[in-house]
Amino acid sequence: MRRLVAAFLAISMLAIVGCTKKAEEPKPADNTPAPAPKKEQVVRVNIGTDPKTLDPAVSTGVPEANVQLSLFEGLMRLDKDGKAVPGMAATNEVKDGGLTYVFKLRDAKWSNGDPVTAEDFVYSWKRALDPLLASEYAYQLYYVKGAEKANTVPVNELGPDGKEKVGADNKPIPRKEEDIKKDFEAAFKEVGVKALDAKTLEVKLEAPTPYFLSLTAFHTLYPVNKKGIDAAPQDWHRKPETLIANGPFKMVSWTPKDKVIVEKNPNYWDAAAVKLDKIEYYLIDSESTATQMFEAGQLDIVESGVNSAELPRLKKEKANELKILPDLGLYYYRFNTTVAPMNDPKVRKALTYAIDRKLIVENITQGGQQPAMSEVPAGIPDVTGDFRANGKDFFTDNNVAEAKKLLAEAGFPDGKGFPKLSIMYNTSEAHKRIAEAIQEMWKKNLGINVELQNVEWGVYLDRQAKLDYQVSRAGWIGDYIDPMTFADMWVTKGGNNQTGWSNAQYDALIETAKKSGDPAVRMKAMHDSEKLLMDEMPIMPIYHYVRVRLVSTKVKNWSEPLTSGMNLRDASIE
Amino acid sequence: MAISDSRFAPLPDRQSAADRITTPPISFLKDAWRRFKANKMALVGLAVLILFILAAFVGPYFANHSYSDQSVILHDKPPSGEYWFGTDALGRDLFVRVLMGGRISLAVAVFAGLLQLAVGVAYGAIAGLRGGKIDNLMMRIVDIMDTIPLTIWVILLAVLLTPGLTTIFLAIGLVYWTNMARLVRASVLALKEQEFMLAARALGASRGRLVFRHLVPNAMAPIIVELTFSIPRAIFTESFLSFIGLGVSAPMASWGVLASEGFMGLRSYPWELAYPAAAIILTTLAFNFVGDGLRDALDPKLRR
Amino acid sequence: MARYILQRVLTMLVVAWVVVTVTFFMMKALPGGPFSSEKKLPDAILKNIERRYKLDRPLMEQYFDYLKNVVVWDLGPSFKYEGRTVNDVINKGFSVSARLGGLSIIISLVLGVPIGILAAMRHNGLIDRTVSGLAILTAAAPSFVIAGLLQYFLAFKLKLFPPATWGTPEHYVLPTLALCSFSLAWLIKLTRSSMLEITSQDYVRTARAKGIPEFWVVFRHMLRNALVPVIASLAPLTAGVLVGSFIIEFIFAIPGVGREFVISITNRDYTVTLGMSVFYGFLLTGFTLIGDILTALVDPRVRLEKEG
Repeated sequence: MRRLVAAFLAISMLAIVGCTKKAEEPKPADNTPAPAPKKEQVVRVNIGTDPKTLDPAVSTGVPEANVQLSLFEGLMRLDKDGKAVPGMAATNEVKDGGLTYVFKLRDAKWSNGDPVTAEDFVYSWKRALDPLLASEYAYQLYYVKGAEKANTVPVNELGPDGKEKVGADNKPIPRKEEDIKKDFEAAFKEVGVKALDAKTLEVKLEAPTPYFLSLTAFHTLYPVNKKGIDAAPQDWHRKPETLIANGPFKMVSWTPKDKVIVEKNPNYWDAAAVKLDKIEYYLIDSESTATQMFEAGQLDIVESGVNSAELPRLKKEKANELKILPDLGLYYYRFNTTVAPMNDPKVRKALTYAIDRKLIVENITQGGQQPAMSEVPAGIPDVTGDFRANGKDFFTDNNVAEAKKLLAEAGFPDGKGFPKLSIMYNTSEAHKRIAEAIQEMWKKNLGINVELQNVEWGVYLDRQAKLDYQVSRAGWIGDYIDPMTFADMWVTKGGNNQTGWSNAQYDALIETAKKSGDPAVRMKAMHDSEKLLMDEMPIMPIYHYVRVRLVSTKVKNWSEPLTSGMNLRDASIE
Repeated sequence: MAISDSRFAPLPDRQSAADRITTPPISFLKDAWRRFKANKMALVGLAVLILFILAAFVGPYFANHSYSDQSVILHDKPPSGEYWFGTDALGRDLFVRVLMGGRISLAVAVFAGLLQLAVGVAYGAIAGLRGGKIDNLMMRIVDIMDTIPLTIWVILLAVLLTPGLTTIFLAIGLVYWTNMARLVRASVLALKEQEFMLAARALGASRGRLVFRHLVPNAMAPIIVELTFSIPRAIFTESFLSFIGLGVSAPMASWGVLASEGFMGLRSYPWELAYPAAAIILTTLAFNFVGDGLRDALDPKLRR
Repeated sequence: MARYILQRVLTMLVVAWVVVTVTFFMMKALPGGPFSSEKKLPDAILKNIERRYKLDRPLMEQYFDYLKNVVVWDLGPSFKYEGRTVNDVINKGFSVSARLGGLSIIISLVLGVPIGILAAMRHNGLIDRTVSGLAILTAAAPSFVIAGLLQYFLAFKLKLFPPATWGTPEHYVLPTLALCSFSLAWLIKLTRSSMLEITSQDYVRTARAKGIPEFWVVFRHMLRNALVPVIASLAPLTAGVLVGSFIIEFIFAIPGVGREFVISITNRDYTVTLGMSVFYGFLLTGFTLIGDILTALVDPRVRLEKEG
């Protein structure tokens, strides 16, 4: 017993001493003037969550894209206004009515001194298309001739009818890797990307694609260095020795769930323009923590994690640091058009007209979002002017009278006889609030009862794909700056349709827009398709996204154009 | 000088007087209640609980607003004459929502408590009493139930049934009795070797009698402490589940849900967190005082 | 005793196996997979991915494959985090969570038990009431409230400690305080009530009657028995705290393993969830075993092997 007592006392003394000692160490002051002549230029950015991978061919998320933007550069890059300007390719030539591009690479180097060659691009794009790599974004390369065929080389054995054979257990039979490799090599010979010489890359497309140059700035099309990958095939992108960069920065360290640190890449072709010495990417999930850290001066930029509950206060107190940037995204609800009463466009339109988007945007989301009475957001150039500005709105917000009329016409005057509806949304405070508001609006304005179904993310995706819902919350961010990134979602049986809606006329219009190289023809087709969509209303647009950021006034020359991450290439900090 | 016999009178029968019990006979429960009443804090706690229960179940009928009435323009307003607790992010009356939330939280708390008493105590007592292989098996099952993540249970339940109050009750039911079982088992292991147990066995007491008449009352202290701690834990678990989307569906809310809704806006609208949190804390305090009082009252050793 | 321990170790393995099996099939029964995403993937690509991660193999084959690897403690690759193995995730995360959790438990024990004893000895006195009251108060508030308040007042307003992330000793203070608030309170309460229980026992009265100083009465006679229920619950408490608290790690942005566990379920990162379950299973059963042994050591009346 005595020994136990003694042990207790000993431990307690040690613990107390240890704890107090730690608590007494002075916290370094935030604004000590630096005695050194040139202070190290370090920007601390919060990007939200731990990147799943920094392999640009495989990654899909925004935090990843942010870091990759610093480490890599594609054939083109996006300048601060979002225009595609030369990156690795000093010049480019468009031939054959938009079907062939010839890129001439500049004298750029990798961070290990190797020159960046056309072969690097061929290698990287081939790798992204390799079915054995299983990249989720491989379809961004499908614009290149033959790419889709190469990527979809069968991985399971096919029967004589061309369909997959099933084994005794009713599961497909996988083919041997060597067989798949052989087929892929053969298919890749037909893919339209070739290195004419060390500095010349020729790309042939399936069809003229006006936004192709912007696409080469997308991370899936970044070049990667074969040497680094060969050295550590499984996790080359996690270690500075093997993540060989050709961008303005190179990797210093990646501590999972903690920080990714990059420093200036002296071998970058435009290193003179890069003023920052280091960027520290913080990985803080909690919005309230990230916002607090910014306000305490411990973060310079909050790219992800601005506490939406505090927006009114931030607008007042941090007016200079709170940045509201446009975004290319739509927040909407899907209607399951295969289920009554959502199979009646009148009902769908009634539901759509009966909500007050202005109220939602001003009081709930409070971030300066734009009420959406259309599908495609502003910011996409039309033949002349802006696509959205030209297209105008398709209906009036909060048009309760019209909504009531349509509902009566559909057979449910004042909501009588209308079955109970359910709105499905994935767990999130924001989605919940909006759904609650809409629930109330439909009750008040139309007299219908709605229940809310809060489901977990995996369940949400699954049920939406299976059409096991009635009304479902959804969001879509454009991949590139062209209306097609929104328009082609709704084609019959499109993977992202998930509403059961099918309209042959719509499909035809999209087909026209895709095949034509004439901008006027394309744009008209897409305007027409949008009008058709808004006439049938398989989806209910709610608002167009904005991006909310907190950026310290000390950071200069940063930019975040549409479809791009936080670009700090030309940035500096006081 | 001779002393005559008549000067001596026999003393009254002191023996019987000494043996006579001067206090009126009183049953165990009556005695316990008497002791409980003497504990002022426990009475306060009980009063608070009764008040909260009444407020939660009856209060909303007398309120001006319903818990789901939104006046979105009036969102996030501080407490005023119209809205006693202020409004939440959708302009709903926080006072009524806290009252309604009480229904859910109190129901969950009571359910968890009852479950622990019914299942946890019995399970732990049996395991402790039997000992050896049976004890081993039973406790390993407890280990397994503890290890499998609660979240998986709940998601699975939510998929098989519709998410809502039922799934919460089921999930809590599956998982909540384990701590109590462990505790009771440990106490029983120690208690069963004591003399009173030997005596009871010698007198031919059945196993059931042993458990419920002898072991459990003597293990009351840790049982009650565990109960009073597990109730706030149940409320937190419920709010965690609601937080990840497996709880009551909006616009219904529990205190935990209201607290997590309010947490995000802590610095701008502190009342949105303060009131539900206060409700949780006060309820927990009340349960604790009642628990203390109960323990003091029910402990046979403290019986006077 | 040695034979008993051996038996228990064997049952530990059985428990771990049951946990893995049940968790495996439950996870697979959940809709959605690690590669479900809002932008629906073309079928061919989805097939490629499933092939790469062997998710297209029959269920039983996947199960046995996994078991084989677990036996050699190869917990597989993470599905969500490319290039990371589950072993790595657990190692790095656990070393952080364990330090945080271990410190909390030590503080809770070192402070909690003596305070609980003190409160019991001065039953219903001022100290008792204050201590009990404070203890309950801290245990009554949800952990995110305590963490949030600590962060706001001590880190943001008073700038005494860093508000989040990990690295220096100062980073330990706030999360440890938040984490140990509940266990500290709970230990105080449990110790106190346990001591109160015992204080009226005959042997204690005898000891006091013999004139032994109160200090020795407490430490030599009462403490051992009072600690029995405390030790019993310490096992799951410790295992739980070591594995980290999701909320604390989330709010303080700590790269620990608790956060990882919960997120992996939502991510359907099967290997991470399973790996952590197995790991946690071993931890829990291990600590329970230690708890049982300690109980037997402390209270000689306890006989673990005997059937009753």
